[in-house]
Amino acid sequence: MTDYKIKNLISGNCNGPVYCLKPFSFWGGVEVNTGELIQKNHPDIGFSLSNKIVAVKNFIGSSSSASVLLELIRKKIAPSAILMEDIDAIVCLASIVAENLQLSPIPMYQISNIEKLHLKNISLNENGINFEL
Amino acid sequence: MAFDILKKTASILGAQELVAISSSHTDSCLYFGESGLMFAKKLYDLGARVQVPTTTNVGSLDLLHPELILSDEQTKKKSKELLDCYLGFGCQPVYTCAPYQVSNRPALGDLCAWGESNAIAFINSVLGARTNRCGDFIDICCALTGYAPYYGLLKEENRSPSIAISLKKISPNLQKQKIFFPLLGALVGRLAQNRIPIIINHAMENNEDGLKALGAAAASTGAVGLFHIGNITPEADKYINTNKLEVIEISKDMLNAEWSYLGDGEIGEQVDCVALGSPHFSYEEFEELASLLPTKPFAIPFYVCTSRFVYRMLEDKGILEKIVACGITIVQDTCVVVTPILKDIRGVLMTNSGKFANYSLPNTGYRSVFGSLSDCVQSAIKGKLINDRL
Repeated sequence: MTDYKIKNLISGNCNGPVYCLKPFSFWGGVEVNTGELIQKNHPDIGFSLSNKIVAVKNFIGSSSSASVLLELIRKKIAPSAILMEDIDAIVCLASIVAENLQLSPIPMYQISNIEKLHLKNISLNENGINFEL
Repeated sequence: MAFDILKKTASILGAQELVAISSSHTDSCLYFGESGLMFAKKLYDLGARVQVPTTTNVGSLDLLHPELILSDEQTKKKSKELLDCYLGFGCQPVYTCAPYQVSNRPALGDLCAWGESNAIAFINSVLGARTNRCGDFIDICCALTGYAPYYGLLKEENRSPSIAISLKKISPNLQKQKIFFPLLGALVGRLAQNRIPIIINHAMENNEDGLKALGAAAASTGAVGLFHIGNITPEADKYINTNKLEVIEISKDMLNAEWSYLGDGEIGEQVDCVALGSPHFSYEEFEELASLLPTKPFAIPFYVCTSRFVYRMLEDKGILEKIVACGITIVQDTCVVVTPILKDIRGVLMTNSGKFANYSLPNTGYRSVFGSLSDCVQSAIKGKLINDRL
């Protein structure tokens, strides 16, 4: 049984399958009008992040990623939650600012052993993680 | 509001306190949609003013040549409104991703809050100033309050390398080529991801534009905010002992594979445009370009992105005429991957910039081919690819 260390970064619940992706940048890696992954050389190019629980070990790339993610949040085509193994301050900002603008921030969690979560059905909140059979 | 965002960010990152900063560079002025404008207008209506010298990154407009930008009128209007908010905050309107080559050049040890991934890497690594990788919104919140969450790269103890990249197997001649800098940068970013690399056993020369290109590439293929190079970058001497680090020995094959990631092409295939200047071209880079130019106009569009300050130097020093005589379009205040400038075709773009090579396809629809400055010029003369690989 894998032990997951979890830290709540931005509060909120999420339920559903986890999609663990290779590192990407929201700016230059995600289409701001569709929420699709467009990053060069990315193995999951074309995958839609919208309304999915997205898990990434670490993010890369542009400091404009905060703006792109905030715009996805405003258009309601952002991931439903973001899980990351290494905290990325740039990505977290989108939810922090969303709250200030009365948009709906998306939940974010720091979580260990993130690759093992791929395609697992989870239910996650501030109290911890549950696996649905 | 700015303090509120700062405090929430600090709490998520586990920063116990805020620390006074001496400068900022804000990347929040680039228009992506309504939400960024909502944020800026809210701060503007609250009467926000920057507390420290703050420069603006590129916007989505060439304010001096608006006709170059192919966005619709509504987007242009909103982009301008956004830039005007940042002027209202008291930011210095330099509109460049290389402000450190224009006016905003922090000194060793300065605590800063900078946005723009290449600028972050440059001031941390080449100048030894200290900034975290500030995302949009937090950079301006720090500027408006004069404070930043005190954590990460602002603290001495977090600046030591966590991975060593050795160039022992790479010939010194290759390391001295200009194209080696962005190529190595892209590979280092891919290998280091969000760690701090130190480059060892190298024969590289200290070249500011080269280091600029290296950092920009590493910050696009990875999340590199700080790199060290023995005998070149100002803090590297402190970390000379790399015994405890994971060492990756770079091979020529790895560099070749990285070149292919950045963009390959068939020799002789059609090239649709050349784009240079990510980060923004310096005066010295223009001088080198000018020395390579043909006497006849290029066969294909050729863009060079730079700041209005460098443009003025080209005018003052009399090399502008020679550059535009070949049909080169000089893009100011912005660049070809952040706003629509290129003709709307899914063509082939050649560049010597690792950063352009990485972002060209997703942002412009143009497939990139990576090559040296002189091969970019030769390809533009014929409109066909000439590319001398490693």
